[in-house]
Amino acid sequence: MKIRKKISLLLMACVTAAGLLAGCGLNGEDSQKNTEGFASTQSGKGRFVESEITLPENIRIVNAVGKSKGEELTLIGGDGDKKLFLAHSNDQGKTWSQTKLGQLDNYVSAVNGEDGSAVVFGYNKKSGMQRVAADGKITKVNLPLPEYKGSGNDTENFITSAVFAGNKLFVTDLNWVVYEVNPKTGEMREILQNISEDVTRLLAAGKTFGLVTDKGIQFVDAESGTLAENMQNDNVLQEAMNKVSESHNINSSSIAMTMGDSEDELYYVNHEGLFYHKIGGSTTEQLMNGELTSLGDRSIDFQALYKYDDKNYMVFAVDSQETRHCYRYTYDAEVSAVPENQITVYALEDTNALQQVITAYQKAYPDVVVKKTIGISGEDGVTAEDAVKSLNTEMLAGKGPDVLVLDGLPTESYKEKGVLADLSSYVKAADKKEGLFTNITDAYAGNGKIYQIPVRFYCTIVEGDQEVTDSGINLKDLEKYAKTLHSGQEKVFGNWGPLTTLGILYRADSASWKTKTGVDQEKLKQFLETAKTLYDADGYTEKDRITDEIANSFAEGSLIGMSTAAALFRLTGGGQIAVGSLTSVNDVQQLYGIESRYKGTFTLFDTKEHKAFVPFLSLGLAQKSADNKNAQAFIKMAISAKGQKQITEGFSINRTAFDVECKNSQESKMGSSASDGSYDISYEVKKISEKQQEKLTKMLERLDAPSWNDRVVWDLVLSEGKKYLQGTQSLEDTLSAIRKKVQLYEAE
Amino acid sequence: MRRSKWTGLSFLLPGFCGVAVFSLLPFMDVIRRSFVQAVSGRFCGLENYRIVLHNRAFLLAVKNALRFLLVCLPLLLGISLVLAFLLHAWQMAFHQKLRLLKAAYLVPMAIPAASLVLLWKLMFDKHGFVNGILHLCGIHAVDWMNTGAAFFVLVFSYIWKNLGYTMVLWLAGLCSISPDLYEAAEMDGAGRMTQFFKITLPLIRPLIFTIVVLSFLNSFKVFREAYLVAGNYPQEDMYLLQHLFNNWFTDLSVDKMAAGSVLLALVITVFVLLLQKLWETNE
Repeated sequence: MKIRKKISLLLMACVTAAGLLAGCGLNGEDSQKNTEGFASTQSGKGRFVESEITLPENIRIVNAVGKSKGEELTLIGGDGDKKLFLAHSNDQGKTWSQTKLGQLDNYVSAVNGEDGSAVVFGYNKKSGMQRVAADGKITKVNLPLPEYKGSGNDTENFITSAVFAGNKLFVTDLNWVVYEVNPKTGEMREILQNISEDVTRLLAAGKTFGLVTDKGIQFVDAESGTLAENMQNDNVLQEAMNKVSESHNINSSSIAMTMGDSEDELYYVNHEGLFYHKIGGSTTEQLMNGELTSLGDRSIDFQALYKYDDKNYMVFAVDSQETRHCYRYTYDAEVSAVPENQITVYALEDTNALQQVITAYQKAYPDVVVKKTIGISGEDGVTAEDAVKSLNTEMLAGKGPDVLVLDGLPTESYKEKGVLADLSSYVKAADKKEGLFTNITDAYAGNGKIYQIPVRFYCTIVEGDQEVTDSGINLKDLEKYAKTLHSGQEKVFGNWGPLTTLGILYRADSASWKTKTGVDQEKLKQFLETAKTLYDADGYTEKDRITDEIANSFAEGSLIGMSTAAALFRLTGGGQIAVGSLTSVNDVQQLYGIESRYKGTFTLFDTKEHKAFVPFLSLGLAQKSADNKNAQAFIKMAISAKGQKQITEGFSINRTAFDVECKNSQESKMGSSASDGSYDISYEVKKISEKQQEKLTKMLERLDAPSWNDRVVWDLVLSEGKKYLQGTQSLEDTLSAIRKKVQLYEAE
Repeated sequence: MRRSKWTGLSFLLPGFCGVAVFSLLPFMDVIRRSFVQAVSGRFCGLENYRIVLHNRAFLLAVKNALRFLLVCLPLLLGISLVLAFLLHAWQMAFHQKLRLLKAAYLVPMAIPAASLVLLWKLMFDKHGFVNGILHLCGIHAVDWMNTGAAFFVLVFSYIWKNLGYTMVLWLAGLCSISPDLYEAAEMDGAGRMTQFFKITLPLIRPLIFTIVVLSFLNSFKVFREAYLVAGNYPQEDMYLLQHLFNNWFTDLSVDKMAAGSVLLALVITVFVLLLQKLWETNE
């Protein structure tokens, strides 16, 4: 009997040990960043619901905004064409009255919510300060701004940030000094002389204001002009601010704050959501999950946060396309605290584009929560291979995601094994409704089925003098042309690093390499020889070359913006041949701008067999979720014009979205000059004209095959090719190594 | 009698539970998966085995594994036995303890693979330490990691790591032989070689089985170094079964991986059983 008891105890111990070990295994999930945290801690009913308030007519750019105690909103903004307006609203932004201010030298503005006035500072010392009364009357005020103390004698000091706090005006300048300014006289009083950090931005927060420094956020009491000790000594608040500083680039306006009804209540908003903290309190409370609203979009910058009452908040923000938004958040006690339905979206790497699709989806489907799972969060040492293995394990256990972002994943294998569902019906429906670039979707069709859709795509172009683009647009022609330039004085291709050189050409040329058993040796040879010719053309040493980091990321849609960079590089004497990825409508605008101001033209890279495109944000629907209506809706949203409204990377696969992007293309001036005066270029970026859009559309319609978008092959070609370019391996050995390894990979 | 049987069982049970939970049950699942498709779970008979046995990568990995075993096992056993014998003889002659030396032999096993890999990279790089020495000797540099020489880097790595450990095992066996036997043999006029073949070898024979099996199983661990030095797709001659299994898992080819694992387990089991049978027959 005793022995039986002992055995039972032993068995129990074994089971407990196994359970504990199994528990340890689950910790592996922590390595993946997920956004479910808020959802899992909340239950029951009640949640903040987002709505968008229309900004005053004429105002496209909001420079500054303020709110009085009497709930009057004041904002100063422009129409994007140098004209400024001062606008007031007494009904929480529903209606606005506005005064045209005319053209003002405007770089930084601040609004005094208390009296509805504003101040405007120019981009240089001479501009001084313009005081704008609530009725729009402008008074120029002389500002005794000290000289710039940093290096560079020509640099003029100017105001870099300004806020009104407690009815007082505070500014900071290029010297990172904080001043209190008398708005009427312009008298400046330096405060906080003992601050050792570099103050880059001021954040309004009621009667206090925040100093955004290179080391974090500090709080200043506007009344005394000294550090707000109660907030400075609040460890919980400081910890929360440090967290914000660490997780975001604080200088890019990733936080806005306001004080509550009493002076010890602080509210702040960031991409994580809306938070409340009682100064001196032991905790920070999350009032709203940003992931369920537009706040979750990592590309938006926050301008201001206002509280009307405990159930109404207002957030001013700027999105990636420089469009201003005013979001209102109202507490709705009837909706469930956490959306009852959930879908999981998996991506190897996080991108703004993905977050923007998720945000668009969340807006359209507030009852569905999207759990975003990122394989490589960057917070741990997880490699792409580790992440893929974890994903595979989840899928084999039947716990895989509903939607997969296939960039960097073994897509072919997933297709063969039936992991992915057919998307052809969605493609057909979207094409019928809004029009798609079917040349792109057709490249993925097989037996009438489509298992992946790239939401965006880009392509490779050759840019340069007419002579360059006329000389040919494939590798062989480029190599031949580069050799003719050898004897010239000007640079041929520039000092790109080996991986960048290989990466650019790989994207352009690899579509036609693939054979049944491996890689076409002749084409690979031509690729390596051309890369070597271009790489060696200007005789740069390794240490003089541009860092290769740009080519290292595979899934993120690497080489973003390269065609513009390459074109500018060419203009500054970097090289006569510019090859790069054409990654957005803005890229095209820039190239046209360069073309109209300087000599130059661009044309699509053409291997003769294929005109390759690079897919970006390729989506797949998990077969197990093929009947999940929410997952289907996500795919539909992603390829719709609505879903792609905010995305700026790549060209949209949706023709309607593409048209809108072209129509909404914005004008600006670009310039770049060398400190030694070796170059000084400037050009105007204009809206895409109808003719240009037509030309661009025709060019994009010619694309017919994706580049060999396989992480293993990419890694093999770049790692072996780098040795060849750097001269540590012969061409024959490089070809042989790539051939054998790719054959092995294909044989597996 | 009954009492002692239960006592024995109670000692065995925890270990057995561990093996069952963490090895036997998962392996049962592997066997099941080898007969079904990876994701759909549809039964496919022996199809996975057929695919694996016709897979060029699998055949290459098997060939490399066999070649590695055929080269490494005799080398390791031979060198370690000779060194152990010489050390033992030295110990006997000078009556010195070898505790410190024994500990030193185990150091290679204690060095983490990641650290070792850095050393290998420094040594076997095209412009590394080994080629530097070869250059001094007037010998042309060898591209160790990208040519057939990569196989010998692997062999060297295995021998270096396991030599000390195997020597210690041999020494334990040699030390257990009574010196009286050698004295008696000497008095009868037996030479060193006769003593080795007639006394030493027969008496350490039971140990040979253990050492062969351990060395055989340790040979599969060389993958760590190979993977860390040359990644998923190393030079062909360094491509081992674990490379293939690792890549199959990344590719979600769990069906092929399961079939390959079952085949490998079968081969190992048959090898160990045959070895055991051989020993029992000789005894």
